[in-house]
Amino acid sequence: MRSEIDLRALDLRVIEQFLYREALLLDEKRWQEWLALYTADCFYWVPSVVGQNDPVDTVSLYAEDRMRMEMRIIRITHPHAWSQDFPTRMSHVVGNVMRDPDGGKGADGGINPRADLVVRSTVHILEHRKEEQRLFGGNVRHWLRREDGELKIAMKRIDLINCDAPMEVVQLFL
Amino acid sequence: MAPYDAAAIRALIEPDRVRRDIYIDPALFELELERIFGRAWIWVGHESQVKNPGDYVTTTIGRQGVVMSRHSDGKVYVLHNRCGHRGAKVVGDRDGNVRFFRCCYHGWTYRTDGTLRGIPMQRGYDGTGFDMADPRYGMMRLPRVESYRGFVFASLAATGPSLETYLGDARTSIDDMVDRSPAGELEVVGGCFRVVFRANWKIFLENLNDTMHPMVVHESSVEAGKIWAKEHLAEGAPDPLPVRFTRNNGFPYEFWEKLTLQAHAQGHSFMGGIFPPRRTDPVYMDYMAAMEQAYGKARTEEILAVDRHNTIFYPNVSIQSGYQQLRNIRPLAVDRTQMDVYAFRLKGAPDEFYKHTLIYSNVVNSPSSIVMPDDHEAYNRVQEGLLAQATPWVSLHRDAGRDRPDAEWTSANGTSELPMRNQYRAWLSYMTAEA
Repeated sequence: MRSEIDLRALDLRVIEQFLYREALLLDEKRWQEWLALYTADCFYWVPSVVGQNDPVDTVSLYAEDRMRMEMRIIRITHPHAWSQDFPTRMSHVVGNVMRDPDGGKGADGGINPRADLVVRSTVHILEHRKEEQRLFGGNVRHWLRREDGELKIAMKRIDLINCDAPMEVVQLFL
Repeated sequence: MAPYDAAAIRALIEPDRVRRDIYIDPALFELELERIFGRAWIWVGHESQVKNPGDYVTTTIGRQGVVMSRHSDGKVYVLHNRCGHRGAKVVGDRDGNVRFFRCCYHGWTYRTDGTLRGIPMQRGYDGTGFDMADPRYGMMRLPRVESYRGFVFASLAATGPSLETYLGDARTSIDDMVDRSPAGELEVVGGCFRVVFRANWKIFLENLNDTMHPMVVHESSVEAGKIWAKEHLAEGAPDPLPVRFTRNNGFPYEFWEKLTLQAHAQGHSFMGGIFPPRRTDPVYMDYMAAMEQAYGKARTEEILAVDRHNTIFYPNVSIQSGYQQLRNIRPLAVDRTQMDVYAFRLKGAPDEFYKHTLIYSNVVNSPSSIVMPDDHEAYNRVQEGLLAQATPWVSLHRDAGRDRPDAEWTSANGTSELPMRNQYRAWLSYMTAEA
């Protein structure tokens, strides 16, 4: 209970800096540092349907526990990942950061992450590979938990506005 | 653009090599839409997508929009998505349920069997040549629609072989998928992945039974599975599913060589399994129990002994029966293809079992799969590479001349390029057939 109170008292600026740092680590592909922001029981979810209820009954663009996140990192950093032979580059802009007034209610897909605070934000991601750029955008929820005095991400959900559109492959984390 | 008469088309295909033109020439792509996608049986959907009267889903055959609907008579119809009046596309959504379809332009309405239901200010047509009952002013039905065990196929051509003849003995792969349900029925659930790549549709089709690519193309995801397992699993511990679905692609050549490839006279083919669906975990044991209750021990054994990886039904659908996946191939342009991926629930199987099906979907078939991007990289590079004038020929020689024909099927060792050679025999037959 104490950590919950501490987190609720956190200055929004501190939370913003935390999300900006996550974006920076993604942009700079500092994967291990990025992964270290997540709890051991974390879940990373990008639904394939608007308003998707859960990652179990419906397919997801990403529905990854820590094992799957670690596997993705091994793959994209492997020298023979041919689809990264001309690496993807990304630039994240994070904005509209606010405490989720609903506390993430009904949005956690039944994962029920242990969290002290749920934060909403908007992200625009510019992605470049080979000769072209494309743009992703959507709403993000972070379920945050304090562990050993540090903020950690217990769950991240990204609702892309084009989640159900035909798309070419997406390889990195969003 | 070169005009192609039958002789010119025949010159594109030899028994063991094909001209690069078939992948890059927009004129040939147009001909394919007309002669292959315009004539063949095309998978349009599964009956479970339109369970109730008024349910519909939309798709395309080539560039032509079609609607699959369930009418109040209980039957499934496949209609042109075109208003009988001035031609507007009537149904805008991907799916839904309606009492009737209504055109957004002049408000003409259609029953879900395609018949014209009403026209505003209908008296304006009194005494004109217009006939309300003429099906040409309805949402026209496709000339032929048939289904096999819930899989709905349609053809834009009024004549041609029956669905039974077209599927032939390759229907046994559909049987394999359906029989795995304790209730003998499948259900499309779980949404749909729509993945686009920048290559000709045939390059994807070739890859589905190409067993010489996984250990090369998928090296990075094979390693992801292997390294993760090494770092986290005790010696001899069973692989979690994501590990199994990645590292198995790294099996040695001898494994793939021993698989059997079966190519069907209609262009279809399948290969032996690489992710044996049989397991010993509690979820699978519950599933086995449900199967044995439904079919008895002996029949259950018989059903579960089948292990086929991708089965291709030429030209537009591929299933992985053991993991209840279906990939629908939609050619968009000569160098652009969309793949729609569906997952099926085995009716009567424990709920947990379906979760495994979706793990397969997510790991292997999602646009964010850690396996598929390397396939797409290869397809896209083939498309780019073939722009080179280096040689007009693409080689399909591996194990040519060693095929073993036997009635409807021709079989070969697992690493043969038989499936591709077989696809081009079917291609030639469609492309040179008299209209």
